Amino acid sequence: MRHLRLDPVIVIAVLGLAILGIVMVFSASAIRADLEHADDYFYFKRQLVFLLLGLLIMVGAAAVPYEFWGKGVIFLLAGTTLLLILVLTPLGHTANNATRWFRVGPVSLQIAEFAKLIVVVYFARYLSAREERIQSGWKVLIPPSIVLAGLFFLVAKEPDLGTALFIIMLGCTMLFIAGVPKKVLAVIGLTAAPVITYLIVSENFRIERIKAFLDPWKEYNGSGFQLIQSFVAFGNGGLFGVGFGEGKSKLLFLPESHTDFILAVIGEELGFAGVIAVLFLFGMFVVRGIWTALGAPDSFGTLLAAGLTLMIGIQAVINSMVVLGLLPTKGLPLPFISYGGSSLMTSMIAAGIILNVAGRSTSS
Amino acid sequence: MTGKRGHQARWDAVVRARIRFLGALVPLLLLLPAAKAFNLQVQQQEDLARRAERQSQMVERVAPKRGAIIDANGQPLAVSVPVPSVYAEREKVRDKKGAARDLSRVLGISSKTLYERLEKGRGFVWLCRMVEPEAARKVREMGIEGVGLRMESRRYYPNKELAGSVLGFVGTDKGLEGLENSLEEFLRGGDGLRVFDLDARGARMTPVSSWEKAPETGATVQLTLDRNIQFFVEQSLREGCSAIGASAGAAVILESRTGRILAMANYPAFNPNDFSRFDRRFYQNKAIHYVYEPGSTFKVVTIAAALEEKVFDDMDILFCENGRFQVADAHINDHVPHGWLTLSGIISKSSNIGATKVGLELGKETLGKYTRAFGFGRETGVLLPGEARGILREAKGWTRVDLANIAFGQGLGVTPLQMVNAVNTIATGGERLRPFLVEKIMSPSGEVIMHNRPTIQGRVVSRETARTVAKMMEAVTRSGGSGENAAILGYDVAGKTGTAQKFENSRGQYSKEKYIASFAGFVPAADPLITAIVVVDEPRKKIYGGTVAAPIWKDMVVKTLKYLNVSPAPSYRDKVPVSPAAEPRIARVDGVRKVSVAQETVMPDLRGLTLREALGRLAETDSRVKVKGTGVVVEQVPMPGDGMGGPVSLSLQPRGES
Repeated sequence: MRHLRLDPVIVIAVLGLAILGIVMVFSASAIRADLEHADDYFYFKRQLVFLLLGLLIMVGAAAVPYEFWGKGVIFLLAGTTLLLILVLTPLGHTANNATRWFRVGPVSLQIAEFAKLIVVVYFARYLSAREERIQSGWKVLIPPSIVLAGLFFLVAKEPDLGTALFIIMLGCTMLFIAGVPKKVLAVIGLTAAPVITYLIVSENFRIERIKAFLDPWKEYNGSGFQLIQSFVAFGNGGLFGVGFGEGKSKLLFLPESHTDFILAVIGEELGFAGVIAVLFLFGMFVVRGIWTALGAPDSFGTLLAAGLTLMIGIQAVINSMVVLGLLPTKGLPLPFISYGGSSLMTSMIAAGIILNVAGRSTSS
Repeated sequence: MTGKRGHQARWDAVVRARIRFLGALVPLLLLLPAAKAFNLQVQQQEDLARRAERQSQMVERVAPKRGAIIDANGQPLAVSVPVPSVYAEREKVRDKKGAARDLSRVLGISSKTLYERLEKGRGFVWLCRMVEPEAARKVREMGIEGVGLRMESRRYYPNKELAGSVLGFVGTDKGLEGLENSLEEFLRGGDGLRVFDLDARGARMTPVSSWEKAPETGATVQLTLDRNIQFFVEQSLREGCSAIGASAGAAVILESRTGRILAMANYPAFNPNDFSRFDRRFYQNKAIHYVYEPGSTFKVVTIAAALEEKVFDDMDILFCENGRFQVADAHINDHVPHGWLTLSGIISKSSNIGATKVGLELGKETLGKYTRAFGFGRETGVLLPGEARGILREAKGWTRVDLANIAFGQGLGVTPLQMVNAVNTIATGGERLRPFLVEKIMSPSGEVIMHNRPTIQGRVVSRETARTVAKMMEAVTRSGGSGENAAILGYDVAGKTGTAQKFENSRGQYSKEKYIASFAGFVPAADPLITAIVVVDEPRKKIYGGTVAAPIWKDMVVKTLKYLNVSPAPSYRDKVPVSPAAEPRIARVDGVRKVSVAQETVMPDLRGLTLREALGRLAETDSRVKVKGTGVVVEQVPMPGDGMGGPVSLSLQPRGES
């Protein structure tokens, strides 16, 4: 670590997404902020602090040898689990009928966001250390399964089923890239499917969301409203958008316009061009992140960089597909862009770790 | 070791392949949202953009200030005053329960109702329209977020009942009855349009954009009505009708030479400020809605037609069959038997038989033609909503009995306004005018939009005929005429009484108890200034036009002449003040007085007669008659042969029961 080398492609992708994010968070949240807090800049100011902090942390993480994460993973995992338990106690902060946050002064931290990161680090560490046992035998999968089930349970309890399912998905992705035989993956999939189906069906509002997804126009005034408003926002934007700050959807038409549905605001104000730019930056990030993983000095580095890259990439895919009505509504933020400190921090740390792997890449 | 190394290399290859696979899959998956974005933003762009436009704005109509209605002298009859209304923007009301509870105390609406208004639906809602200033002040003081006051225009009728049924009233948004209804397009003005940006919950965003189109105040309507004359007429009609227990009444005064309606009154009246407290039937303007059989007032038309057609002249005399005359299978009766009468006598004594004979001589075609020419069976053109045309069958279809009946005013339906306009045709010297109520309509800037001018709708009879008929009508109000109660000291009054039985649709025959008494005439007879009519529906204590309607007519016309400063006729100048002998005649308006007709100074024997027949015998005596029971007269006070003077009371029983 005598001198720090930052991969320019990843840095450009991250900066591009983050700057677009902070600007659009301001545009999307100003009126809501004014109504709710009598301060146009309420959300913007917080996000800006997180962005600057996040960039520092990214650079800091880039400077830390990635092996550090592997060695400390047990502590990180234990700490995360403890915090996830504590958040369910009265120490946790409740909003919108869910207890997901710790309030620390003016900011609130969403532990489940960090849990995603920890899952990737843990799986990369665990699986890379047992490469010879992965292709044979089940026993090796027992500890990570327990970890995954525990985290899933705790996050689902908040409740935050979206993130909980995403954690399962991340675990499975890690198993897949770590070379777990297809046969084993199929069994895991067949086991998980009924459980997940039950969890979705057991809550009425989730069925509503599915129905709204299948035919949003029919559920226009109910559960389909948000999706229709999202479509209207995209449509109103056209090719090049109505211009920054000129969008109408964010005037409370579009719920969660500055968080999960921020891509719709981008679509309205910056148009198809803006949407393509965002998707392109994510594509760029993923391709470069995968390239980094393939050039990592060891298998831990490979799994770590690939896992974190996919964590960002899959979230981007899911979020953009949800916002465009290609997947049922699920509360996943758009990495680097959506309002939310924990999400931004998590993405920035992930980017920093990938940058560190990239700096040590044998292929560069 | 090679095994392990080989194993690791194999594993490494699998890992790299799988990472490459996902590394390619994820960017490819990003093409899906890109494709959908293309679909929405390029292919569906127009539709969705239109939708965005539509849902983000609301056009609010703002009712303009309604134009005023003023009388001929510019006095206000209907004005709009700003009154506060309470509204809510539902999303902005945080504590709906609490707001409903607090407002309920001030607005006098149950908190449950208010809560429902706040809870159901989105955006703007009126909580209570047109509240008292005190309540508005309290609402303002509460300062509940999302609850506000907005000034609305409320219609106010400063003269209360005055001309109520002519003016009509305004509902929440538009004129519902009377002139308020028929002149809606002028009075209403132009809606203002305001565009609001809305949020998704339907709440208006502040700030409000400025007017898309400013509201335009409605036009001012000036009527021909004179508030003072209207007041006299309503007063006379009210006092007269209530004194004799009539169920309803209507009166109209026209300016003879122009057709301007100076007054148009109804009894019972209603107060348009409080219209909802009155039954619907009070809203009716009987002067134009009420269709009745005119009875003897119509004889003016028959005689005028005969003179114009020269079927008779004013020197001819007709035999009136001593009170009973058969036409086909019907009997025509006179209340008082007459022998030979001139045409003037037929008018002044109101002989049905005389009018029948004139009518039969004229023939149905000719009488039908004149009836139409005098304006019956069609709208007068006064431009009030729902003006009745009356009932006038095609003359071709009349039987001989129909012809006989119509000649003395039964078997056709007219409105008071039609009748007074027909009489006014005699007053104008034979030209029928269009009666009108609206003098002019002026825009808020003072520009005259419409100015009504007197309109002659045709010459009906020659000036000479009209003069002759007018002379005959003067005799009606002279001593011995059926309308002497309408005589006004100092003026020559031309008029005609009318008493018609009401046709009871339910029973299909003429009622024996229900009458319509009327009097129509003009003054001064030689150079008419005003023409007026009084129609009284179902008078109870007295029934005749001469005793019921004529005194009311006189009362209102005297006041009007005085108000208009009309100087007495030259021939009366030296007789004013009047001789003491004449004084009581003028003073008596209650109808209880010494009989002035010589042959009826003693009480006739009425026993065995039907009520109608009995009342017919008492017709010219102007006695107040009290009636008990139905059927035929079985007892009478005074007894036959006794002198008359006091009230007459009759007891009746169904025939065959005594």
